[in-house]
Amino acid sequence: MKTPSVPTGASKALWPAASLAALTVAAFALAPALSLGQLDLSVTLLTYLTIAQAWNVLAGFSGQISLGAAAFMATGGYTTALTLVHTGLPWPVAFLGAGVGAALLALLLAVPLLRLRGDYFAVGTLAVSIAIQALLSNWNWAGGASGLTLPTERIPSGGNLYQIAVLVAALAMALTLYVRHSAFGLRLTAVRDNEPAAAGLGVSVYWHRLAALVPTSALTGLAGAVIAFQFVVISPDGVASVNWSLNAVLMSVVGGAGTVLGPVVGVGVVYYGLTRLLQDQQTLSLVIEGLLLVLIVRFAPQGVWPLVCRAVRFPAARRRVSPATAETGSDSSPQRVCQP
Amino acid sequence: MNRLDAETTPHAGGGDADVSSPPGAEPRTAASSATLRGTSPGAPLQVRGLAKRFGGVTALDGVDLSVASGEAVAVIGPNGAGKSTLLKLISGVHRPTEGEVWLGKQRLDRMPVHRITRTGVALAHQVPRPFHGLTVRDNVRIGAMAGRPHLHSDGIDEILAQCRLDIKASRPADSLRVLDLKRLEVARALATRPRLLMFDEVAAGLVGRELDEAIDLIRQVHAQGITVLLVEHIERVVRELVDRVLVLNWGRPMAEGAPAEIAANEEVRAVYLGDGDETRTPAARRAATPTASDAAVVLALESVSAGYGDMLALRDFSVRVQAGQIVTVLGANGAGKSTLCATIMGAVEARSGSVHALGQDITGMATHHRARLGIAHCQEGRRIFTGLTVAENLMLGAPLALARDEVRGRMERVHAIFPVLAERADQPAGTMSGGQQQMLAVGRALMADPQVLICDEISLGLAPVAIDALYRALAEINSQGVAIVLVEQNVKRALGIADHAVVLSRGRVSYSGSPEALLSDQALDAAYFGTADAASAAGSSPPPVPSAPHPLSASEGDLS
Repeated sequence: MKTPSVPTGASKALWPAASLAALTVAAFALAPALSLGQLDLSVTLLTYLTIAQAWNVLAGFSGQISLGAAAFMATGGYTTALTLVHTGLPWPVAFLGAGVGAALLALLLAVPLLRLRGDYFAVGTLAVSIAIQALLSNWNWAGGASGLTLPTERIPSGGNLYQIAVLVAALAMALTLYVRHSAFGLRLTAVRDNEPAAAGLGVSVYWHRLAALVPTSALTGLAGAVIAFQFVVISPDGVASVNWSLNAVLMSVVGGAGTVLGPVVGVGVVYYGLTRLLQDQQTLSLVIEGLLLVLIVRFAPQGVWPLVCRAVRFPAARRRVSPATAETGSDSSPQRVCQP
Repeated sequence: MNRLDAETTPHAGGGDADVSSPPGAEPRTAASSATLRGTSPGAPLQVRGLAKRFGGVTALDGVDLSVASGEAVAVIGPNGAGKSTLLKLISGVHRPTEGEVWLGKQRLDRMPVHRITRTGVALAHQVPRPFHGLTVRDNVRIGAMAGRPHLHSDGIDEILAQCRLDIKASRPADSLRVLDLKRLEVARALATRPRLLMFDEVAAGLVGRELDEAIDLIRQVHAQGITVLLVEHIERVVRELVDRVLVLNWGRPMAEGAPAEIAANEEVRAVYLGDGDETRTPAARRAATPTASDAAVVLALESVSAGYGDMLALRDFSVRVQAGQIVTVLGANGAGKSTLCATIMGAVEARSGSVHALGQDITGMATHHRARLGIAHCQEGRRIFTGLTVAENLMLGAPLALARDEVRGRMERVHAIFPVLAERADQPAGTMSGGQQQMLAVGRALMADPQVLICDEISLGLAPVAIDALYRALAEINSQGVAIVLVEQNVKRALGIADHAVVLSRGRVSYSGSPEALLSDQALDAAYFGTADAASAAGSSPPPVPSAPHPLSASEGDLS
């Protein structure tokens, strides 16, 4: 979109953006130095980061709580798989097709979904996700319940796959940074906080919700393609599993929805604190995940990251205020609030 | 289509240099119109044959209104007359069933809300709706992005200064008090650079100097040349700000004319203004219900302090309420009135001091026990269950264990005081007018058969005639022996009925004594704000914003 003449937080975004760029380049260059196991783990973490960050933009910033990340992951994964299995097109085309396919699905679903708000939107996205899983299980051309096997010789793996995952995650981080610091993002926040008031101030609610839904869905679709490359075999029970959606929510909320770094923290906490630690005890892991979510929502509804920031008093973090820290301060000094 | 329509539109304003473009036109055109507008950024408003029906209910019917560019017009009328509906139709929140709305040469009634805003219509709401997660400045920035081209950063600063929010610009919006929230509401609306700015009861709940400031702010907006449309119950605001008044009743226009003409109109007096008997002397009422000085004390607070977090909202407060007495508690916004109610009911814990009621120490008692003891609280904002019927609402006010016959008996007593609640017993409570809903709220409190009734801001947002009815009912309730604690912003009414008056200022008692002594404006102002406070506020107030040139023109120049 056109650069607005309203001053945005562009200057404040400079350092975070530069750091992101540097980190991306560094992570990219690191590929040859990593072992196969490390590469695999990194791909998993980066994919989680992508879907958590996409959910963060959609729910944390624009207020659309979605339980349908799996629908877009499945669309992305299956678009890639079907393209590779049924055509001779090279993998980059199949990969980009995943983003396009998920974005198209989002555009299509926007017609019914954007009529819904709050709980109804969440239930609507969950229904879509379940419908897609059922559809894929019964679609023979797409392998039915047993799924598809990608041609291993024609897909990226190892270091290449890792680099793709780095790029996708960097894209998700860049989108969040943009939303956090741009005038567009400010208006999204307004839509989140009070829709009628935002409309009354000239913000087109429908287009802003759509503009949050489509790119985040495309990103989730790309994450689906990465997962397809990583697992080689994709099936409705895997890539379309509602677990993906729940993990996106859990990681984002635990870390801190509506912040840029919250989901990064969330991915670390949830993956290392729970999934890895308790991988031999699946049931216990689920129970503890649920318990953690309840505790977070009850005692730190802003997530872990803002909590850490307030404790550490991040010097660079006195920008936009979050509701939890909104106490009356003195008139002259800016609020000491953490939301980097 | 817009072009064609525009050519056939009667151009009401006259003397308007506006060359606004049809919706969807290039931003460039709008920008040039902004500069051409010069010192008169207003636009004429034309409302023709406007009607709105919600299902079978006609909220508005056949309303015509034309407001010239730069004119100020007020719309008044009883609760449920369709005033807010009119504003919502103009701002696009509702679609008209019939009729047309034009701003200058642009037809509004088919545009979505955000486009109407960008065309130059802004609405400041009665209940402020800030974006809680954002700072004051970011709240205003959202509005600033509506204009084409966007309002510059300097323009935002000017608006913040004009609305006296500049020193609070980096505060989170939800840390603001009522007056500042109202200022923010106006600031956001101004940031969209409206040609027509509508105020929906922005002065409701303001008192004394706050009211002066609100009137001042609206006057400044009008002086910039912006067309102003007000919906207001407070007569003074209407009298001081507008040249013309439209009276609505049951969704239909009833009278139109200068404020003085309207005030003299018999018909309007009957349906809206009421008998104007605001300053009935307390002595007159007291003669009817003499209160012996040795009557039993039903409620006594002894040096009570209460607050939230680090902040004490109520300090060292003492009051004694005798059986059959009416005690009114007055004070500006944020003075601690609602905290007092909450402390009496136990919703907020008293930090120190004691609360006694009906012969018991209730300082640490749970809220529901206090209610059973015989203290009823009619909360601010009515809090009725809008989806339930009137009768169901009343039943919920009675204790659970009460025998059916007794419930019926109490309901009959409530019906005797508020006959309208009997007439509408089976109607959903949300479909009644504001005044009737408030009666229901009081009636529901009475279902508990209280000996002490606490009424928190029951006249807020009501038409004068509805307040009359409510106060007559209060007098009747009181004559049955119920002591009333009346927390009010409507000073004259409250003083007219009370036996004893207490004024709170920043959590402390600044006056406690007879209501008569407070009836002069000076005494009231001193009690409300304190004289020393008044001097400092006058000294620190920013210099008045010059009315011409247009304060926003500087920022427009920067953009070109």
